[in-house]
Amino acid sequence: MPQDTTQSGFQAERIDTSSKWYDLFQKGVELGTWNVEKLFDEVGFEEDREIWSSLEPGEQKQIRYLLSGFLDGEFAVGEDASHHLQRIAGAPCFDDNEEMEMYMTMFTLTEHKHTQFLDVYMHEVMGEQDVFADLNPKRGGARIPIVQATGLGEIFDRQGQLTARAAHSRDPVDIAKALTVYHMIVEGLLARGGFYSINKLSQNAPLPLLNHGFKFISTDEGRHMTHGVEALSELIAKERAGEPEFQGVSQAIVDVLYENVPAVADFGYMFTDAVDDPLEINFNDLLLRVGHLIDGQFNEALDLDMDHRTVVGRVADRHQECLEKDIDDAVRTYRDLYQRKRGVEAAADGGR
Amino acid sequence: MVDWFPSEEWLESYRRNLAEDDAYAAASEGWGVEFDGDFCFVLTHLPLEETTLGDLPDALTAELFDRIDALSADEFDRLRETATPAFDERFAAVDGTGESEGADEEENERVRFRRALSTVALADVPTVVWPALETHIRGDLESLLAQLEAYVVDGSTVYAHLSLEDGDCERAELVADPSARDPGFELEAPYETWTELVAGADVIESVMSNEMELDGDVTRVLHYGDAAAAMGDVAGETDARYLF
Repeated sequence: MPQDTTQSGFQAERIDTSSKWYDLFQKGVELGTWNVEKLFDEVGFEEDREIWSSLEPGEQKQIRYLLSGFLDGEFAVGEDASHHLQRIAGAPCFDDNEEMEMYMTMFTLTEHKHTQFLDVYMHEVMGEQDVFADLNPKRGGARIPIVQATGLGEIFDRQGQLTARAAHSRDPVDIAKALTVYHMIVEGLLARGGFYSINKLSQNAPLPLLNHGFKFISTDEGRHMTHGVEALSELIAKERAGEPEFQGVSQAIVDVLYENVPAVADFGYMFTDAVDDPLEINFNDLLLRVGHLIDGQFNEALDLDMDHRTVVGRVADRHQECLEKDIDDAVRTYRDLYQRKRGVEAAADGGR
Repeated sequence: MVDWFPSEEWLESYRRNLAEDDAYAAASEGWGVEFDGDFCFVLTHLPLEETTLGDLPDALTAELFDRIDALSADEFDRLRETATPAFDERFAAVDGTGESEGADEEENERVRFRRALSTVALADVPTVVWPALETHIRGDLESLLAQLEAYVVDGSTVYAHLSLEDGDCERAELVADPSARDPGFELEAPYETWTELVAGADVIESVMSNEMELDGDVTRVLHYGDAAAAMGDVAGETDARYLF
């Protein structure tokens, strides 16, 4: 039987063209297929390289730290989308939602493109990063030292654990936890906080190619967020309808928020004495921006009743840890660790 | 005087309650030490254009109208003759329906007078009210109208400065010239949002949901989150009667 028509008037039989996930899929097809290499060709690296080389070392460090968080983050979400989210989308609790599974293919593609953009951009504009690619997580290695030295690495690990568990169990409560850390924390708070920072730093370091790429990335992430909110809302609705296997979904979402929200304080490392704030991004503004996002996502979009004071208390505790930690020393520690690991591997590898 | 909100009197009650609040004292130990911990509360969008004298609570205006009713015919005539042109315009425009047929002309004029007075927006009081009428405005209404005239900035905003240091609130005052002050922190919201806070809403939630705008070192507030929450709680516990 033909399904409802799309805005374009098309009908289908196997797929529901009136589905919100079909709509996200179609938007992804239209907007998410920007070609990274074509963008590099069209905008070029030259102006970014010139501006980059004119920046002070502290300014370069601040940008490098931010982009390192993005690079490892995009790599992590791309991996978890490939391995776990696709299977989660096919879970029985989503009622064999073919359109959601279609959308996930687009979703995964865009995450990998973000990694592609950032990895090439950082290499081509900033030069040799020595991001320990040979030790990257997919190969059983480590993340970029600044990411591992802050709490961001822990969040990406947690995301991997929760999405893997949900993909395996396909239990609605496990899925709620996985989607919360993935879409609401990593994409919703950390990435959007990062977008805010990139946007602000562009006033003092107007890197045209970087800004161009991030406009595409943030548009893609907007659709990802919509997907996350819709999927979680569906689980919450079934819980509120009294379906037994969905009981505990709302509490799980709030618990994952409380557990992982301290990670927003890790942005503070990009604004402490280690780098100061040479590009005037302003940590205060960033914190308030993230605070508004937390309220918008959890209380307004998901209609949950999370406790703001708990959130503030946890972020404060983490920020205190950030203030007390010598981040440069921690980065050096990880760099040394990685070098030693390379040395061991090199020996086993015949002295590479 | 009743603790009308917003007013100097409510602010002083709030200051006193804050200074006596054990939870605030414990949570704000060290606040404002070696940094400027003063706060400015900014109440925007006071509905002074939209609110007339007749809209104010009866408890505020009843005495004024009783005084006018109690005037002798001669006293009322003198009061009427000295009115400002701005009041005369309102008097001329006021609807005469409802005047008692059996009543004499002077009595009907007094009804129209009260009605005209009721239509005066609070924002217009300084230009409409005249000295002879002012002598009949007393008590809380007199004080509040004087405060509105002295402290309302740009037509609809009021600034309250709180001196906060190491668990204490030594002073809280309305500020006529906010540009002369530069407190470490500012909390700004429309009047309606402040009334929700005074009615018990959570200040942390109000800031997180962008209903209130916080300006200042957010990380300091973050580390004194319990103190900020206590400031909001004390506002909710301070008795208030709303002007608007």
